[in-house]
Amino acid sequence: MPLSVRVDRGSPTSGAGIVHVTLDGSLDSTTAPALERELAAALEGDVRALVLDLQRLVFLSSAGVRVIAATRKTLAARGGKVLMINMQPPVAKVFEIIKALPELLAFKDIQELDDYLAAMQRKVREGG
Amino acid sequence: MKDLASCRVLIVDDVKTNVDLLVNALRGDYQLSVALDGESALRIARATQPDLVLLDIMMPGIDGYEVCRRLKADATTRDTPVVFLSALEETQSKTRGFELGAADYITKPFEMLEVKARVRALLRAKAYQEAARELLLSELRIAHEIQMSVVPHDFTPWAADGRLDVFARLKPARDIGGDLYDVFALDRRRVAVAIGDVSGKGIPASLLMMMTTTLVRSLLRLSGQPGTVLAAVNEELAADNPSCMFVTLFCGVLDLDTGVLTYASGGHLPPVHINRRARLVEFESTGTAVGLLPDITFNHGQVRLVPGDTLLLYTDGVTESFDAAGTCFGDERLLTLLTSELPATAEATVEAVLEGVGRFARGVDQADDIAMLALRFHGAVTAEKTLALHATGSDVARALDVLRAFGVENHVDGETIGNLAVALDEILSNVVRHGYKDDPAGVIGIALRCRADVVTIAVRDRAPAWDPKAIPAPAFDRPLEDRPEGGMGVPLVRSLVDTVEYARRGNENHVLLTKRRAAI
Repeated sequence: MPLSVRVDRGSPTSGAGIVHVTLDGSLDSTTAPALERELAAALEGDVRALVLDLQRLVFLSSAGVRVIAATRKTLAARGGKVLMINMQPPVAKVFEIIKALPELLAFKDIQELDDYLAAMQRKVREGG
Repeated sequence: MKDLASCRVLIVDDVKTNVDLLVNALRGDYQLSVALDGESALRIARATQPDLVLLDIMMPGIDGYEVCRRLKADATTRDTPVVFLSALEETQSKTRGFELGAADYITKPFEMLEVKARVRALLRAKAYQEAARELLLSELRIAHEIQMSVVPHDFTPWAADGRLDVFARLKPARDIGGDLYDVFALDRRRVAVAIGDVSGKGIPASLLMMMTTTLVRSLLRLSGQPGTVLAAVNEELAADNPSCMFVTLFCGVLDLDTGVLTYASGGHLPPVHINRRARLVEFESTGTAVGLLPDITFNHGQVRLVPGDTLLLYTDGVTESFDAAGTCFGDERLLTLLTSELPATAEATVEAVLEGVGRFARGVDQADDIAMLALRFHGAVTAEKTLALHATGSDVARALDVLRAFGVENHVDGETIGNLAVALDEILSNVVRHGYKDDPAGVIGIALRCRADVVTIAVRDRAPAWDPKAIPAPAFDRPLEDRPEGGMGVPLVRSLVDTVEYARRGNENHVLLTKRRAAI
């Protein structure tokens, strides 16, 4: 089963520095290397947040978790974040077993993510 | 035996001149410690573990009687002989000393030669006693090993065969005990099983256990008829049995083609029979205990195991475990434990019961021997698909697609196949990357099999040996980037499937994944 990746820099959620990536299919040992390359290209420049839409991701193995973890690390180095939405139960199970979720921010859906981002922006404004 | 010159004698007296006398007299023969009052005597006794204590009675602070009482109350000094040295001559004083556990009582003024002779005699007796105890313990340890070696422990051939999942444990209350179990193949189609409990415990029970185990195994191999075997064992044991020992014994022969278990029971607890929906199946059990009376016949009973059924054969050490309040574990708790959530494998079944009993008893010593034999019947292969791969990413992807299609064709539920697919991706990517170092010439063989209650995936490759079980648990508590690279896959496999078996056969690695499928 292949993995299709759609990178969107101008989606409704995307403010400045936010990249929206939609994954469709299977993120396994075979498809993980290609995703890693695509994400590296997508995150060039001043990208501060990566939104991963996992609505149509039906399969995840540890090779995929590694790519997401590596991306989180890259972004964290410049103060950025990986934000996941619409995670399906089989994928959530893998994250749970590996106990990777505390470090990766997961949101039920786009509404929950928007609320989070709005709250963050408020905080930045008030802080500044 | 311990050298007397290495023995330590603790001298306790508040009068310095008495101490000096004794020290001078004993210095050449033993190691010495000295205490001038009761409190320090107790402290030194605990710290130095003397072989004998010479104890004055009248001292300031706690007196000699109290010192003796406390020494005898402490497990670490309980066996140390105490000799009172006192000017109190009355019979009452002496009697009181002996009642507190003293080994001897010498009145002052004493003859030094007599003191020396008595000390020597007591130390020698203590050394003999210790040597005898050590010999007994060492013999019991060896006897334990011999007893354990007569029952089977390696169940991996059953895992490789796949038709029956087998696990058993023998846990004597002392070093050796009277419980027994057995499981072995009579031929390609039939499996013999037995469980038994000899009356009593310890050495006498263990001798009869050894005899019974050997008899049952030989007779089952000869006749394969459980009732006939029980009758023959009964004749052997009842023929000359002055101490009226007996065995409760359950024997069965399971036909792996039909799932029919033919059995006979000599007064043994009926096994617990649970179907794959964790429902209890009633089990008839008949017959008298074996070895008490000659000329007994044993009827055959039959039950049919359906693929997915679990059978737990056990001895009453399980159900008659007690907690601190004296409450018995009992049948109800056993059945509730097994039917509330049926463990996925035979091993998990046995371990769950042991764990449940341990939690119930909470530190109370196991009173009776425990034996358990769990069987989970998988039956014949209903569908099979094999494929050969090269060590490339595209072949790994193909294998996952074949697995998904195999699941759909055989009506395996999506969750089971999903979990197996993740596990297969982990195993295959490990073989490709770490085993073959991405060399596409590497070959991998895969066999997918469905049985009524489980799906198995066998993977074999010719890469260097690796053992998924030898890989340590990953640092799940550490941040993702600090975790060792490649450490996540194998633990993930273990979490997603029920069993992971690994074997190195010749120049091949064999991994077998088994996952229980949802009941249709």
